[in-house]
Amino acid sequence: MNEMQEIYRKLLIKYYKNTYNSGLRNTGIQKESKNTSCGDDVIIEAVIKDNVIESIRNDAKGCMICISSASMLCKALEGKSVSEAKLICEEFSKMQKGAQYQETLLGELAIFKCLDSFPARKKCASLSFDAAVEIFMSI
Amino acid sequence: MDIEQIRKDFPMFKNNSNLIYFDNAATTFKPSCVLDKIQEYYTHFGVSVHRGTYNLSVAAEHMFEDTRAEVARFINSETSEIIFTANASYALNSVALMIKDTLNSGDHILSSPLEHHSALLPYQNMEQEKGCVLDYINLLPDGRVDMSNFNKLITNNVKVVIVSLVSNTMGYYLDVKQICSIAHKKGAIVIVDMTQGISYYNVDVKKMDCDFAVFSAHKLLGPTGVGVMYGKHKYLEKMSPVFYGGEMIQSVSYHFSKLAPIPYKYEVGTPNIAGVIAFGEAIRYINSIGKDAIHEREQELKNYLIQELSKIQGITIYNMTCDTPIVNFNIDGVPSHDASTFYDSYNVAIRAGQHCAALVTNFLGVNATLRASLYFYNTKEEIDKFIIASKKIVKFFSENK
Repeated sequence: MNEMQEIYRKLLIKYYKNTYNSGLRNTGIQKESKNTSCGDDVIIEAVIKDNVIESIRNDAKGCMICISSASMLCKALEGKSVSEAKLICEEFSKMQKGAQYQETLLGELAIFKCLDSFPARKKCASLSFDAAVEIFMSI
Repeated sequence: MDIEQIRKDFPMFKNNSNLIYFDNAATTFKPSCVLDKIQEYYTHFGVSVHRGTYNLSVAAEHMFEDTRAEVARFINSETSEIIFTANASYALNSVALMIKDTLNSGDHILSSPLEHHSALLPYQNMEQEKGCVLDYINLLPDGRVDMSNFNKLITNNVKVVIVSLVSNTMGYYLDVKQICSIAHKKGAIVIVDMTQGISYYNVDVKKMDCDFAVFSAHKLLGPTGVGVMYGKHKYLEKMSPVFYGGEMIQSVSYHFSKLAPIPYKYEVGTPNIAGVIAFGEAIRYINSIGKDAIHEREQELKNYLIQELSKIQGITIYNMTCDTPIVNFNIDGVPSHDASTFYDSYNVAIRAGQHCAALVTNFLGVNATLRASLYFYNTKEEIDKFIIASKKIVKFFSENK
């Protein structure tokens, strides 16, 4: 099994088939991010109180990478302060762009480093992060 | 047809020796003679056309105009009926804008859900802007155009029919000659998108009797950035260009300018000279192999591809009876972009998505599909490797449900 298959296997088992915080509650700020060329469409909803992300949920449609990353983002950012969450998003973006990044801050999200071998799919992973960043910019 | 020898003409095969390229409906590889022609123009001729008063410019112009004549022979039109554009989408939009003034509120435009977005969107715009009505011919259960429904919908209110010779997603051939014959009796003009079809079929616009036709060079072994708009002489004479400027005028005064004769009045600014000249070389290359031989070869590849792919459990093929080697399918339960990445990991390049024809995926009831599209230079050995990759992908996802 090659590296990519291993990663897909992990994603599939953990997050594609068993999504995390999937489904919106319409109680927080919602931002949508779409890739019209492939049909990926993610809405992230966050409830932020006293600068802490109390709840973060997703409604993701599209490919496995898109759906998995939306769940992983929610798991990574839930309960974090906004500044911590911003930092994670920034580090994720750096990793995606091939810049220096702090792997320890990303935890499981560092799995998407494998997309360096498949750059056409980076957008699939970053859609939910784009939506989250928009939420942070709006507050 | 000596495929091994033919493949040596294409540097992409040498430079990507492990690549299985099955995305020819997106674009085709270029033979060395086409690439050499681009180099030759820039290194030996390198000057503009249609305006030079020196020998070198005249020589470049001859080469440029030779391609126009070559294209005209290729589709059996008059040379003056060939207009070079930036690509087929540009040509489709140009035709739409040229005929826009002839359309009135309530006029109907007839097309099909198989069409490329570039064919449909200009007419959606006319619905909004001019109050025209865009109607769609029904598709049969297998996705082919329903001719009996066409016969019902083609009334005297229909002013324009726009259809493709071959669907870029379903690979079906359409009897455009019959469409033209019926549409003309009702007074409608017919625009044919030949972008995919011309790669696979001999085209004779006179026999077909279409009023306009478009295609692009890059799907015929030519360079990107060159499209062709064919129009019947009578329409090109009376219609007006969409763009104005240099190259396309005979004389200019303060408030009035006299346009150049056709086809030049439709070609504004400095064209893609190298691209057009190299396109001529691509057509000569195709002619040297022979359109009939190419067609026969593609049928063999298509039949083998369908035969082998349909044996795999866990794959749905949406166009089992396709007329061209464009196979539209999905791996059951796997989003097409994920499957495409797996194919990529096996060095197989195929397309995933809606293929600029979202109404087709809508018709099929799926979000997106995989498309494997072959050209005559592909081989059965490549199909075998593609089939092995397909089986591995199906196995992987069935084991990791």
